[in-house]
Amino acid sequence: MSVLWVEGLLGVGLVGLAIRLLWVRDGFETIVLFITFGMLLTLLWSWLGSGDVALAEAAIGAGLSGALLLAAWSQLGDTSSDEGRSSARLPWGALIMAAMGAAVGLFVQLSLADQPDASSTLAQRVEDALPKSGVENPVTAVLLNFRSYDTLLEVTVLVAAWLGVAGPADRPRGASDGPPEADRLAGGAAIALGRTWLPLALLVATYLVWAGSHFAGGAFQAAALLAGTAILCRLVGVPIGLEQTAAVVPGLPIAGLALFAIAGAWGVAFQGRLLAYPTDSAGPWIIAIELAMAISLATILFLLYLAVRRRRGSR
Amino acid sequence: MSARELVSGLAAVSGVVFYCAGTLGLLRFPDLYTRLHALTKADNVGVGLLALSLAIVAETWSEIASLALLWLIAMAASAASAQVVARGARRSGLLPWQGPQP
Repeated sequence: MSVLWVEGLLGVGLVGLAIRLLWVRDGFETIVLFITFGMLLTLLWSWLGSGDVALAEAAIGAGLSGALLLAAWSQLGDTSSDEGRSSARLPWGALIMAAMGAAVGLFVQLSLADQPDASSTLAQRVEDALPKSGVENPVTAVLLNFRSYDTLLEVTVLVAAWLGVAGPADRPRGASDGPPEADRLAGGAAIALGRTWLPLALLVATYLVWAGSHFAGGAFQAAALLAGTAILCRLVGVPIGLEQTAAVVPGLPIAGLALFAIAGAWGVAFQGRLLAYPTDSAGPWIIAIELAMAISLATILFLLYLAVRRRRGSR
Repeated sequence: MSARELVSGLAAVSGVVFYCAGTLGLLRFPDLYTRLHALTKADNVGVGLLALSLAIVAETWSEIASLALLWLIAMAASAASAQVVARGARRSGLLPWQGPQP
């Protein structure tokens, strides 16, 4: 009974927030509501026992996307003149999209309900093949082994986004140890937090990559945590040198993708199939790829944030 | 109900009371600085009491250690973010509330 209460409250809160988001016209309010939505969704995922998804949602969906959206919003300039004029109109396009989404969701739910037996589904096949995957966490097994080309393409998308927004030619101008926003915002408490949080975040991120092979965790969560920490340190003016390292080591953003691609090519050459890891060393391959991906993705996400921030100054 | 559960329940209820007080302050206080004050101060006590409540009924030492770490991180984050927000507001020229205008 109490379980249903919590799920019900979270569900009603999420739908209510989503509806509210459709009507909000103010950019800042939309972003704040979006972050709140991500936080509630995180609670729901962890309540449903999906640690991996909850971690990803908290770190990427709510945390890092929030920072990127706020950085993008701050370079949009004053949009308040649009307000009021259009706020009375119903967002028909968004409503139609929401209705279509609900219809698809209902359809999927109904067609899933027809499945006679859950044990014959994909989950069972993953469970059966798990010993061969090299890892113990079924989520990581799917992401890095059974369906690794999905993940490979996801990383490619992020590298493409970095190339489009920033790219290797986008270098910081001048010394960046004292960013302009640092003098405005950094107080004693925030600087102290940046200093203490940095080693802790490195520890937790490394642990997340390692933990991904056994239970909840993985490269994407670790990368988002690292990038978030880098942004925090940047905001409060604690120099960590990631920007400088990325400038000196140009391959940093693509190291993860490169290792992944090498693994794929290795599979073609020696196993006859794309991304087929050697059977006895799949585990080490996966850990190495995850570690490289975590570093690369963190660098990409941080450089994306910097590029968005910097663009504001050049306008 | 054991004495342990009773104390834990009392701590949880008091924590919720502090959270409610903080939220009430956020909604009703006159300006950003007083709202920040209500939010961070009351919520820090709230999160501490909730952590205490869960620690009392925790079964292992590692659970208690996790809760203590969680409490410390939450406090540090809220203290730092409150200062950042207040500083940003002060630098952009927002003056603190001076009491009800006559």
